[in-house]
Amino acid sequence: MIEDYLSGSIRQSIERIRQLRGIVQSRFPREYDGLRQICLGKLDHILVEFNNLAAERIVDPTLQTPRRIRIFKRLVEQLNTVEGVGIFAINRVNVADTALNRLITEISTEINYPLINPVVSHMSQDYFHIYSEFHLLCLPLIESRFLLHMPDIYHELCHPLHRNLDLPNLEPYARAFKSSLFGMVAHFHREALAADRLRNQEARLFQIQLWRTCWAKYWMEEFFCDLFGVLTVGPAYAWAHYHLCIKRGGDPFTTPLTRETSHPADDARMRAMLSMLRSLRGFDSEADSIERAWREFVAAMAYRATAEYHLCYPDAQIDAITRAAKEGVDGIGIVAATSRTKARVRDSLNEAWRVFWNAPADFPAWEGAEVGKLLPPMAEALERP
Amino acid sequence: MSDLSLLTGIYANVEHFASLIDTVIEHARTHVSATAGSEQMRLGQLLVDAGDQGQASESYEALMLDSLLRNATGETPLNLPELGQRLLAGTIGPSDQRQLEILAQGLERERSEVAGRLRGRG
Repeated sequence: MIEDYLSGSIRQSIERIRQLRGIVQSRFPREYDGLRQICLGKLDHILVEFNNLAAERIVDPTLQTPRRIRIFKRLVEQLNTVEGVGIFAINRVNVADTALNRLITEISTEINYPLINPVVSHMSQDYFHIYSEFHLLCLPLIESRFLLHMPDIYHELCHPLHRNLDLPNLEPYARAFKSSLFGMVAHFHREALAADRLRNQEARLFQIQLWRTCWAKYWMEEFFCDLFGVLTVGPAYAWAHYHLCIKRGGDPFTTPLTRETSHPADDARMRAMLSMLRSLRGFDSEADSIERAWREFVAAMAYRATAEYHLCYPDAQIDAITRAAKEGVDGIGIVAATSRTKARVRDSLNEAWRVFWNAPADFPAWEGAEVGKLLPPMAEALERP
Repeated sequence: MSDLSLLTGIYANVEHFASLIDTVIEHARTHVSATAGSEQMRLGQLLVDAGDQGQASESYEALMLDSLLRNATGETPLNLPELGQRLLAGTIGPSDQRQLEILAQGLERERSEVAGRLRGRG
């Protein structure tokens, strides 16, 4: 019966692909040509795989059916993603998205971004994020009318580098990243051996193992993306982290004890950002101001670092990651925030934070005018009745 | 602070390894007495390298596979290097097929969990 189900359901999915292809082939602005090609390529691939699955001769269902169900589930998920991410973005093209696409092109040029520029859509229902396989950067619906979170775009631009570490032009970055990763694995391996020698509790060994897995699966990439943000947009990136932590974050010292977490502790991330700002020479006073503001926030909320926090995010490892990230990002020719070249977007985002702190209450009026300069087509669209 | 950028990367890795293991399972079924295919050799080497989290070979792929195969208590379901050695040595026996099926089921659970988190169900 399950094979009969697969047969019918595969045919229905093939019909869905046919209809989705029709949507992608409609008329859209040329900024979306790349995204349309990606979607069509994925639809073609999924169609071939569904056809292969439909044509497979069943000889031994006990061996074949479990594998066929797994493959079917993976293909359905791929199809859902193409429809719900790529084609959804194409199908909701509007003036604000088009204006933001031009801004991303400008940012990519300013920093000498080494990959294809992503397409941008205001379709995020949460916060900034990127679908690397679609080259699609997503922002909340009206986020580009405000400036203080915008430095997070630079962080998101870094994630696709991690999906392309085998590219020759990213080799210095890949080397720095992998060396940091294995440095961290070796560190926790030594910690585990030491805990074992001291006949430490099993719980500590489990935690060390858990932290190593978190670093390998998620955190190292997140730290490198943060440090890429600091290197490319400067102090505005660390301010954006401060802004986000106050608005949406929890205890910045949270350290996993029983379950994996995808994001490292916010305080550890801030330590890495400050370490990078100071290593850049030229941002010392900004780093001091950010650190003062951060400490005041932590004290006001009575957050405290635990012993586990210090074991999970050791100073020496954070400093080593900072040095490696700088070497890797410099090595692929990214234009750093310290460069003397003029960078309209980067300068504007840093200016936004200076203006905010000079007169927080007056900031919204200044911000509205500045957004109008940065994203003129969107400003015009907003003024239309 | 959104998890999506990281999770889409993890999902791609899970899918990649799950597809590799299913290919080896299918090859073992249809080529019972044949020599190991290239995917079997690749998977065998990955499992051997995953034994020390990819440290000796500096294999990022092996480190990622090790991380993805660990269960909630941080343990790997099987002796990965031993299975890897047998895959590298050639023909796959029925017990190896069962072990590959266990790895495939584990990755399917991980895939389904990450997919749920990506859709906001996690």
